[in-house]
Amino acid sequence: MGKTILEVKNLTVSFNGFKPLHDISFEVQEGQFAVVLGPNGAGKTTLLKAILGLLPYEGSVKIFGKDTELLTKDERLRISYVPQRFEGVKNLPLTVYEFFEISSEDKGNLKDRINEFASVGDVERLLSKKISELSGGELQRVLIVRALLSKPKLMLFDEPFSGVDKIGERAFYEFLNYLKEIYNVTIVLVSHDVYNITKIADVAICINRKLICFGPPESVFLEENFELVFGKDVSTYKHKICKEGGPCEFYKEDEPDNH
Amino acid sequence: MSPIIIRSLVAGILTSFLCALVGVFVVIRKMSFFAHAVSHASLAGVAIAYLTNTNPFLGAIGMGLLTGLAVSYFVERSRLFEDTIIGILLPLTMSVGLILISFIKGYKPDLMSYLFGDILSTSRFDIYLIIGISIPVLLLMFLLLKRFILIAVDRDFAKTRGYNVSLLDYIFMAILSLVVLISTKIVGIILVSALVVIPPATALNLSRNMRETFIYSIAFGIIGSIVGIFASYAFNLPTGPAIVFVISVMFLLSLPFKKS
Repeated sequence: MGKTILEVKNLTVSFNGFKPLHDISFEVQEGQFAVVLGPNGAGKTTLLKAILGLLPYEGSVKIFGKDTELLTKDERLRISYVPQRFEGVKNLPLTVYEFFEISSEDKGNLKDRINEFASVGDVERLLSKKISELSGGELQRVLIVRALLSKPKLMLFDEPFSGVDKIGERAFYEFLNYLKEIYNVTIVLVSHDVYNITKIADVAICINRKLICFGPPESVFLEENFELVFGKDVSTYKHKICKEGGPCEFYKEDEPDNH
Repeated sequence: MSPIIIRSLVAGILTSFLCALVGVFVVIRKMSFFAHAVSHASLAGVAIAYLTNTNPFLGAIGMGLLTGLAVSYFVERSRLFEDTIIGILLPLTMSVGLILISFIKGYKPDLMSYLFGDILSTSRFDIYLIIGISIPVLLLMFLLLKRFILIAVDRDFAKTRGYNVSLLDYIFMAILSLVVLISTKIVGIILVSALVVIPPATALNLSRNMRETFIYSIAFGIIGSIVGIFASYAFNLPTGPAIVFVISVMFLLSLPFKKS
């Protein structure tokens, strides 16, 4: 097991007596792909914002083994965040290139870094376009490239696929896996997509204002946990995979005889 | 060229440059009402200065700066929106100023010159003061420009980068307050927000990127100032309103060319 990159202990967030998050604890190891799963209003965005220090909280959050208040500036640059939607000012003549410039420190050759990661994120043709002219999917790619510019070790994504179609979503998951493999980035991602989480995630963190389950998806994605996360009306169906020219079968791990 | 015109041009160009530079953020962050508050508060500072036998320009700057920082403080601490806080402080400080002026015995300051500016009466001391304030302001803007843009565009991201966004906000408010206050000498309390808002607004109509926005804004501000000063001299017009008229015409002319 690698070293612990992110450690959350007894995290509680309160607003005027209301607790959107209560007593959350989990760890994410270096190089893992962790997914935060929960219904609307479960506190997923609140969790990411608390980890980033954008919201006050009780409890402890340690990144790279340090309390977040004690992180140096360089260590902070190794943490990146891709929000669910861009909440900044869009109606400006700010080009994508300028957006990357203002978002980056000047250390190293900034122009080369922008070109390198623009190529990785396939946004080279967008560099001279204005932020206000980008489609939803293009803007998401730009936000991801922006997050990569500081060469992060930890990336937090908040539902990066809202506004992206299913084909785009599949490409994004492959792209995130590529990042994980090539750049050894630890990823924490908020998603509703149980199917892809099962295929890709190393660890699932299920929350509904409190921690419901934490561990490898194949261990924690049980019907009783889904009921606690999503409510009693949830039903789970196992997928059959149809191979070309062959029979449609469950995954071997999901043989019905095993239950 | 007479020394009066030269001093007017120096003051006009410097203040227009600063207003246009800082004004880009005022427009992006929708802070034009803030500029009004600071300039109107300066009237109380002028009155206090006359009552205490100090330089009225310094009094204006002190009171305006205090008001600007007070707005930032209350926005951060209270649940009220910025325009509400300004809507309270602006009439409060202006009424305090007018009440204090009524207490001044003997020579009363020429209200019209404070309300609408009196660039042609710019003294050497005023020029030194404007230059003295411009240098640190320009230095701070040069050092912090990227951070100010990032905060204006994506505040949360700036926080995740470890920037002390609150402190940077206070610094920007102080810079804006100082720039507005030194510009009241040129166009007066009533019209100073025009110097801060109209050149950047014109620039935003025409620019293709942020660099062009800053360059065009500064260019329009300086050209408007120079043309306005010469027009007021040539046709015996009040200078402040002449400058504002010129930059307003530039804005109207830019509308057909507005980039979508």
